[in-house]
Amino acid sequence: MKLLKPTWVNHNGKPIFSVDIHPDGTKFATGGQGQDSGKVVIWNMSPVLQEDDEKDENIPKMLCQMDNHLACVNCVRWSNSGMYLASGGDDKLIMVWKRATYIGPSTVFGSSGKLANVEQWRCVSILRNHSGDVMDVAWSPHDAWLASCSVDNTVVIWNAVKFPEILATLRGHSGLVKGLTWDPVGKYIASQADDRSLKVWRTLDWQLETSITKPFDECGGTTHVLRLSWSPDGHYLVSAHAMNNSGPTAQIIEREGWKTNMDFVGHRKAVTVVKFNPKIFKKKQKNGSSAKPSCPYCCCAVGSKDRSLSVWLTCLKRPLVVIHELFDKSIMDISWTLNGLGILVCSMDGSVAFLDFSQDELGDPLSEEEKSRIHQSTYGKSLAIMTEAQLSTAVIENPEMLKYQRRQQQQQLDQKSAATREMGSATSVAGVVNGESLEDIRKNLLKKQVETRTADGRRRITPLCIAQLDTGMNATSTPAALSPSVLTTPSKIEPMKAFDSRFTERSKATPGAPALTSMTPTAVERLKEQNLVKELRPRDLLESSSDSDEKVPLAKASSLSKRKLELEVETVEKKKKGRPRKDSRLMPVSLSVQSPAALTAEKEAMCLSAPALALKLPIPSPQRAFTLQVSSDPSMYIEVENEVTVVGGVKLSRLKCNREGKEWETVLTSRILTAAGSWDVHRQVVVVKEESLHSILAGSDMTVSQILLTQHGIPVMNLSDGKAYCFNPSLSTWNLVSDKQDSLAQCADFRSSLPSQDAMLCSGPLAIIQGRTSNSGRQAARLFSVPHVVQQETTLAYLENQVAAALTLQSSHEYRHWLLVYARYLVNEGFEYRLREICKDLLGPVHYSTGSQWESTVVGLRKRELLKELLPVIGQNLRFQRLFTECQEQLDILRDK
Amino acid sequence: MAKVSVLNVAVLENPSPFHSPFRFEISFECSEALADDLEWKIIYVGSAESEEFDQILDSVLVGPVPAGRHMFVFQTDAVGVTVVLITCTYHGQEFIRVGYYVNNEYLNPELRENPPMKPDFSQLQRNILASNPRVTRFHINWDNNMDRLEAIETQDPSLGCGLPLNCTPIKGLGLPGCIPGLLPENSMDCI
Repeated sequence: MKLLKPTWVNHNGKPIFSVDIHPDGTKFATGGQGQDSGKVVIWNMSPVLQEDDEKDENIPKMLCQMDNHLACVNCVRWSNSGMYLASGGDDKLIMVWKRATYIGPSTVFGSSGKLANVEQWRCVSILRNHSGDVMDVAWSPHDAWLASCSVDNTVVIWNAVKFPEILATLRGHSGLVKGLTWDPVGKYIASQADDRSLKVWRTLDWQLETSITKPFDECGGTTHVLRLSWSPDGHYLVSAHAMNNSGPTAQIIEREGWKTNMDFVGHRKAVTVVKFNPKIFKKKQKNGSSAKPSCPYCCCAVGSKDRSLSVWLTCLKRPLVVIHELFDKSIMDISWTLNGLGILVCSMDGSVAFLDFSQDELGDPLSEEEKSRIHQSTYGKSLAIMTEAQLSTAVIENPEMLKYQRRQQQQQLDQKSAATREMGSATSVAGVVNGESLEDIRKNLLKKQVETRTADGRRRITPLCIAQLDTGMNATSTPAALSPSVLTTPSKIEPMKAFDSRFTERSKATPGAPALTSMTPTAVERLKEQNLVKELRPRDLLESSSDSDEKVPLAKASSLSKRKLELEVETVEKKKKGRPRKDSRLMPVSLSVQSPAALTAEKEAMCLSAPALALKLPIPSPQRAFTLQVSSDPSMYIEVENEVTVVGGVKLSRLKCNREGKEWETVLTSRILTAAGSWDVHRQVVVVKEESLHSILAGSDMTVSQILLTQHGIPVMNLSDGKAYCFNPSLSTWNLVSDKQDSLAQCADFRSSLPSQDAMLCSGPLAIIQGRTSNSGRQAARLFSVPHVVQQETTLAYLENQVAAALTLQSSHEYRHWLLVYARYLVNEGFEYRLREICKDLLGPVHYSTGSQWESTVVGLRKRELLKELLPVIGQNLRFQRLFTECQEQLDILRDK
Repeated sequence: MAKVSVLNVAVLENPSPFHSPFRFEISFECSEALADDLEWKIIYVGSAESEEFDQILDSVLVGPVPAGRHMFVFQTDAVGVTVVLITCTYHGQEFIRVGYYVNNEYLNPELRENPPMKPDFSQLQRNILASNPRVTRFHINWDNNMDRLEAIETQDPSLGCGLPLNCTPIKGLGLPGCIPGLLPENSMDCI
């Protein structure tokens, strides 16, 4: 073991409260007190690791410093991806930093050039919620969440995908919360507080799993921080300051039953910080000795107020090493390098120490693969799912494949070099705006500058923007190579707002409305004629009883429904209410009540049609016949015959409906027909479906909230419970296209398969229907609580649904988008069979045969073109190189033909 | 944290003849779009001891300021100063102050040795010691909230009561079609 105290890592003598090494090991951050503010500094790691680099004047030691915190910084933490740095301080704020790549090194203006920032780190989010000092922050595995804890006794979980959204505030501590740690498989988060308790919270519902108090009963006094840690295999949670027989310890808590039987003893004062090595180790195999498989073990560093540091291996009873008097004051934070062999320790005395271990001392670190296998076997899932490393040894068989792979690497290189080029000497030229160099701009700035006078006569200059800020949190994901899929098409959905929930409510609101008795008898007569009162067969009605009972509460307005029933109303809602089956005994009721009801009905039909008329919709010619099926219940379908007649100059459409052997007819005026085109027919079904859903949902109050017609004339209907259906003319079915409560959508996690952030904004009818509610948080929550296999299944199902929905909606752009996402997911997760199926369908028969049912296009897109787009995606995974080759060759053959 | 940070102030045409205008090219960075303009001032420091003798030589509003890096040239005809301050305020709060020493001297070595009793301005050269600015930063409140209103009130009490009081939200501006009472009329038309 080597020990080094790099003196140049300091905050000018001010205390350093936190240290964290960047995941790529090239830099580390410190946080603490600044001159009259909090201070975060990012340092170069190589001068710590290598003496030559330390001596080399050209190698910068300090990369960036940020004085933006108004008060002392208590914690700095890199995200697992290394993209972000989160810092929390006494100013109650958490700042999230991201490296700005477009600007080169710059000095802080007026600081006489000494404090040059080699890297530019920009605050992209400020998270304000805590009412007291923020003591610790922690990124969850996979960076889905950021947790922070504070002296306000709370822990806040932030949605790291969508700052500053708060997912949960964990209340329960009655003292200052001073430390946080995530379970490595993401199922729990633990917090330790001054209230002499350690609490474990579930990430599934953010509720308390357990509160451990016994080992802390004797804890008096206060430590500045209580940084606890979870072992990388997930088995143990080790607390900071605990007491055993009035001696300070670090309590080991077993995941299994939260047992507290063991502790790390030996420090003379309270333990401030515990940090597990990210690696799991196994015994170094000595040459010649029999390869006896030994149990993997973990390594843990413990820092204390007694200024000493101890390093433990879970396979040893004694500490591996104890270093006394390492600092002049309490140890505040510890960070391991990702390879598990180095450790940085910081202290209140303002200095930092680096310890370097050899593999002989710690053991052989397990690879990430082996680690994830341990997770998989212990918890049935792992966070590292598909690692590139596994495939690095595969032989590339196909030159085309090689080309793709190379091109991909080249692009990555290009991006990198572009980034470095941009970063390059900012002293000469910092950037180019609209093809003009900054120098040119500067020359003409005064001339070009827009100067105006304000109302009160003052000069006002409009500044010239020379660079945009990349403040977006997610804009960084490198766009997937070779698939520049910007899928934005102007959507042409025309929402028929007029048909909102009022639609049904109104019909409820007018039970038995006798108001229109002043209607002239002739009108009534006419109506009678037109209406062709349907023939209801009591037999059928009695038979179809099953679901009607449940609907009784809905039809409370019985008097109305009676009357409506006989008429088999014009309006849709009426139909719903007046569904004949349930009131079968009322069937014989004479027509005496009929006319006023008819009037109301007619009136309502008009009411409904009135707003609809205001909208311009494509008007397909009224269709002659339909068979409509309600998708939620395959047994329910309706046959509709549509007859258009002209009565007294008004077009009337008579719909003959047949459902489960029951028939009824209804008449719609032409106004509705012309206004609504095709959907007036469908609307019948809408209503029926609604009814069926009612029966399913047992009386929950549901209404149609919106009806849309896409540019392809596909009617879409939203229900108030968040479900949306669209009509599939080719299959004559109503298909569920969106469900806000769909557990599939919530479980599905395909973020990694999205081509880029931009493409996520793929717009179209489907996107409009489904809304853009980001449920990433929920997704993530499921991610950690659902076994990976289930997750895969649901994601696949969800993506398949999306493809199908886009197909149903005939939204070609969205179809392409979702198909690509689906394919990418299959590629990422390695589902060869399904991928092959897709390719087969897209490719079609290579040799023409008359018997082939294969269509060469789908929603206006050429299938083989789609396949060509898919190839690069397939090419990303070496595992599929055979498939890639096959498709490639067959496409070539086809092209040659 | 400060929404605006000054990246650089370049002194243009320096040194220059005594009577030529001051030109500062100021580049600054804004982390999020500002609701209001920035106010930049050039101040002549009359006395080192007291701000009482500070004179505002020129001031200019700069805006609108979206997030990003911006630059502009602040030009003023002020002459004859020895110390010049550039300050920037937002909502009346100063957050940065950049100070320069200005040296006026004769180009001609003879004149430099024996300056005439009455200064010969045509021979004078103005040299701003641009390499050594004194920069002071202040924490201010960047948000639009009550503090700001109070600040305005203390400056000018007449403004405080100038806000219109009749800003009660107008009710029923939702969809008129949602009001059931309106519908029957429409429907009658249809019939």
